[in-house]
Amino acid sequence: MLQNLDDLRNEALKAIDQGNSPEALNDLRVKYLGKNGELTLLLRQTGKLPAEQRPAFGQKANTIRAQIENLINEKREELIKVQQEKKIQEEKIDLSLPGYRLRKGSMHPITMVLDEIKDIFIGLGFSVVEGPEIETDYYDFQALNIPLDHPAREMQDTFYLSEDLLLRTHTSPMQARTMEAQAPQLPIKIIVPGKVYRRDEDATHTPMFHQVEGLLVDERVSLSHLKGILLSFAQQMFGQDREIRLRPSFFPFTEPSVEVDISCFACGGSGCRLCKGTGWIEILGAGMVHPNVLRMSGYNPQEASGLAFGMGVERIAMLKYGIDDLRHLFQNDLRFLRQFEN
Amino acid sequence: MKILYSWLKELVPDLKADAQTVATALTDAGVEVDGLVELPDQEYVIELDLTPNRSDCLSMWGLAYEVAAIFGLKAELPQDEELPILVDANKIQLAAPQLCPYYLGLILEDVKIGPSPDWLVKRLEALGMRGINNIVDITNYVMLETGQPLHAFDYDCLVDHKIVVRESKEDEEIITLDNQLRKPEAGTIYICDPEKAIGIGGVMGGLNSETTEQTKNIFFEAAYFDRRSIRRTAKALDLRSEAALRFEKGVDPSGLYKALQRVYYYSQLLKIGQPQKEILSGSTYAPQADRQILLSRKYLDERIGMSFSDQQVEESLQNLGFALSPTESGWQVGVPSRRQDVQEEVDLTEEVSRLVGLDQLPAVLPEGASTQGGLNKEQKLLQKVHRVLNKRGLNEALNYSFISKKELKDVFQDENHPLLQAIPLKNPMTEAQEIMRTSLLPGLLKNLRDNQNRQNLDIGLYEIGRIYLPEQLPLRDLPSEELHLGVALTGSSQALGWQLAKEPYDFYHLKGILEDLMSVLGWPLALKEKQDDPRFHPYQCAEILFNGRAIGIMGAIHPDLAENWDLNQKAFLAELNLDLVLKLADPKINYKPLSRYQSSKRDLALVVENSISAQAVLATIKLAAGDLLENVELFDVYRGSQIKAGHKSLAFSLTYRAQDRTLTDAEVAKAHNEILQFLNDYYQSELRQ
Repeated sequence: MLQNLDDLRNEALKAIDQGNSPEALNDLRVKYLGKNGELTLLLRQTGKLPAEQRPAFGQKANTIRAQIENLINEKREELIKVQQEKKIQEEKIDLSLPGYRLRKGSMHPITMVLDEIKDIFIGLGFSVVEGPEIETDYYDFQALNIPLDHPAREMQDTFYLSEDLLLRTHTSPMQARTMEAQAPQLPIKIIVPGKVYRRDEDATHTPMFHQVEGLLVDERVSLSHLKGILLSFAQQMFGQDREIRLRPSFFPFTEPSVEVDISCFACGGSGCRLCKGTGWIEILGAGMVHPNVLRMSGYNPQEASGLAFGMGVERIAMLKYGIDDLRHLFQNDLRFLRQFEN
Repeated sequence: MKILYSWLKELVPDLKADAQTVATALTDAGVEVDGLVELPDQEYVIELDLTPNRSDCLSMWGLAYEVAAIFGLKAELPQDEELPILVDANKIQLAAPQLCPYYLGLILEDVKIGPSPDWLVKRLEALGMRGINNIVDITNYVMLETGQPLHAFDYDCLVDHKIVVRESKEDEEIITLDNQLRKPEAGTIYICDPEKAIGIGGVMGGLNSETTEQTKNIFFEAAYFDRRSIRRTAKALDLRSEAALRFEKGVDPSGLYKALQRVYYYSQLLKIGQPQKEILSGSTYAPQADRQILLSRKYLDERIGMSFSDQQVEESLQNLGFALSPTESGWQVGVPSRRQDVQEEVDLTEEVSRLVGLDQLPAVLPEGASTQGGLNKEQKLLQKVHRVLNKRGLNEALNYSFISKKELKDVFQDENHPLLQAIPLKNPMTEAQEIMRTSLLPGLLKNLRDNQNRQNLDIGLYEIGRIYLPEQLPLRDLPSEELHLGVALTGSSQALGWQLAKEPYDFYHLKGILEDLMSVLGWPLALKEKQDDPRFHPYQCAEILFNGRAIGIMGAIHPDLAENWDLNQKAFLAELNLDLVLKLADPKINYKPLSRYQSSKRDLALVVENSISAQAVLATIKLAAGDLLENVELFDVYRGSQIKAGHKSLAFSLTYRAQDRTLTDAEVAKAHNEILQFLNDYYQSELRQ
C-alpha cells in the first residue's frame, strides 16, 4: 500500500510537471484529489490495513496530498501568470492614435462675445433688456435728441420700412423706451444687446451688425463713473493690464460725449500694426445722457443724471479672436464656425 | 474741413506749437484730425473730420478760437472798419422770413474782374478750392476765413436792382451756374428779382445773374437760411457745395455782417472796385448778443465727478472767448453766437472737461443703491438652448435679417403662402436684401448650399433669430418680431471615433435634437404628421405642436426643393417659434430616491399594424404600467417576411423595480402580463413568436 502511495505520488508529480494550462491542472486536481480521485480512493482503503500501519499510511497519504495540492497551486499560478503576461503583450496598442472625440458644436463668435459682455455687466449690477429691431422714427431719433432734418441723421444712413418705421440704427432707442416706462423711478441700470442696421456695406461695414448699449440713470451719476465702469469692462474683456482713454466726441443723445480707447493688448501700448502705431484701440462711444433725452423720457435733469455707452460687437469679436475679415462673420462657412467649438 | 497752419499762426500769433502738435492737441480736444499734409515752404494743411455739432470749426476764425483755447492763448482776429446797416425792404424783400430771417448785401461798383493775386490763389488751392476770378475768389476766401458763405450777383441783371427772397412755386424752373435746368420742389428758397429767380438760396446761383467779363456792379449776398431747408434742397439736387455744407450745419447769425466787412476790406485791398460804404439789410439786423448761461459749481462737480479748480474752469472758458462773471453758486457765462452748439449748462461742463482734459478724471464705480443684475428666465433658458444644440454638435449660423423675395418664394413653393407677406425695405441696398425675413429657412438653405459648394459636406447648423410678421401691408404699425429657432442638417452626423462609421443624418436625428431641446425646457416634443407642406417630403414631415397649437415644422426637405437649391444630399430642416416655448418653459429636475433593491428586465416584441405609431405604443405601455415599471425603451423595429403583411414588430425593453423590496418573478410576471393584455385589447397586437 505504501508502495502504491509512492507510485501515485511519482505519477502525479510527473503529470503536474507536464500540465500546460490552468484547466489541465484543474483536471489533475480532480483526478488525484477529487471526491473520486486516486489518492482519495487509496485513503478510503486505510481501513483494510492492519491497525498499527494505519497512522503511518495516513500520515504519508496526507503529506503527499498536501504536496500535490501545493504543486498544483504553484504550477497553476505560474501558468496563469504566463497566460496573463501573454494576454497583456497582445493588448499592446498604438497610443499615438487619436482619441475618440465628440464635436462640441459652437455658438457663433458674436453670440460668444455678447455672452461675455453680458456676464461682465451683470457682475456690475446691470440687467439685460432687448427691444424691437423695427422702430419708430420717434424712438430711433427724436427721443434721442435727433429731430427731423438734424444733420446727425446723416451719421447713420437708415433703412426705412415706411414713412415712420425703420430698422433701428442703434440699440439706443431702448434707452428712451426704458426711461419712459420707469420714470421717475431710479435707478435704471440696463444693457441692451441686439441687431442694428445701417445702409452701408464695405470692407469695414455690414448692413446688419450688433451693438450693446448700456444705460445707468441715478442721482449724481458722473463722467467719472462712466470711466470707472468702462475701465472695469475693458480690463475684464481685454486683460487686467488694460487702461482706457476718453476722447471728447459728439453724439446727439449724450453731453459730454466721448470715444473710448483701450491700451493696445497686442503691444501693451508701445505701438504695433493692430493699433496702427498709436498704442490705443477705439472700442466704443459713450457719454452722459443729454438733458433733452432725460426730459423727453420724464426725468428732471437737475435731479437725475445718466451715463450711456454703446459698443460694436463685431469689432470686439474681431479684436478678441483676431478675425481678419468682417465678412466671415455672416457667411457661415463651417471652416470658420468650427473654429469656435470650445 | 482743411486748415492752413500758416494762416492759423497769423490768427494766433503766440502759437509756438508745430503743426503735428497742433493736430494731436485738436484730436485730444475732440476736434478730430484726419490727416496732416506737408506742403513746400514749411506749410502744412491739417485735415479735420468734424462732428456735426462743431459748425463753428468750419472756418479759420473758429479754429483759431479752438486752438487758442487748447493752448491757453488768445486768438487775434482782424478788426474791420464798422459799416452802417441800412434796412431797406424795397431793395431786399424777405418774403419767407421763416426760411431766411436775415439777408445782407454789399454793393461793389466799377469792378475790374481779373485774376486774384498769387498768395490768395495759393491759399485757396491749399484748402481744396480753385482760383476762378477775383470776385468769386473773394467770396470763397471769406467763407474759408469766417465760415459765412457768400454769393456774388451781377447787380445789373436784377430788375429794379431789387432782391426778393421767397419760396419757389410749383414747377418753377431755374438754370443754375453749372448750366443745368433745375426744378426743385415747391417751397425751396429762391433768390429772385421782381420778375425771375436768380438763384437757389444757399445751394447755387442762377446762370442769368452770373458775374462775367462784362459785369460792372456786384451785389455780394450774405444770408442766414433755414438749415433744414438747405439740407433738403442740397440732398434733392445732389449739390453738396462748400456753401450748402455750412448752411446745413448752421452759420453764425452774427457772421453775416463780419463777412461783408471782410469783403469790403479785400475789395479795397485788391483794388477790384468801389465798395459802397453801407450794408443793405432786408430786416432789422444786429449782431447777436452772447447767450447767457448759468453754470453752477455743484452741477459741474456732480456731472464730472470731481472738482476742477476755479482757475481751470475760468481759463478754459475764457480762452474759448466766452465772457465770464462769478455768481454766488458758480458763474454766469456769455457764449458768443458762433458757438451754437453751446446751449445750456451741460454743454459748458463738456467745454470745461474737454479743455481741462478727460485724463484728469478718476475712474470710479458708482456707489448708489446696489442693483441686482442678471438674466431673466427666458434669457437663461436661451443659453440652455444653445448648450443643448451645441452638445448635439451643431454650429450656430448668423444670417442677415433681410433676404430676397425670390429666396422666400423658392422656399415656400406656394404663391399664396401667408408667410410670403414680408415687409419690404423702402431703400434696400441690393435685391438680395429687399424684404424682412418671415422664416429662418431661406438663410439656412443658403448656408447648406454655400457650404456644400465649399466641400463642407457634413453640416449641422442652427440659427436663433427674429422673423418679422406684419399685421398688414403696407406697414402701418410695428410688426411682431418672433424669436425663432431653425435647424438644418445634411450629410452625416459625427462618428464617435475614427474607427467607427459616420451616420448619415435622417429624420430621427432631427427629431432627437428637438426632443433634447424640449426636454431641457420641461416639455415633451409633440408632433403631428403633415403631408401637404410643399417644402417637405410628404411622409417625413410633422408639425411641431406646443400647448395645443402648431408652433413649427420639421422634416426632410422635398426632393424638388433640394433640386431648386442645388443640394445634392438629403437635408432636414426644422423651424419653430422659440418665444412661446421659452415663455411657457418649465424645466424641472424630478428627483426620485434610489431603490436599494434589484431590478428585473423583460423584453416585449409586439406585432402591430403598420399604421400604429411606436410613440403611441410607448405611451400606452407607460399608461398601462403600474408603479413597478421603472423604464421602457424601444430597441428594434422590424418589418419583413417573418411577420404578417401590413404589420411591424416593435421590440421594447422594460425594467421593473420597487422602492421597498426585490420583486419576485411572480410579481414581475403579473405586471408584465397586465401590460400585454392592455396592449392586445387596445391594438389587437400579438406577441411576436
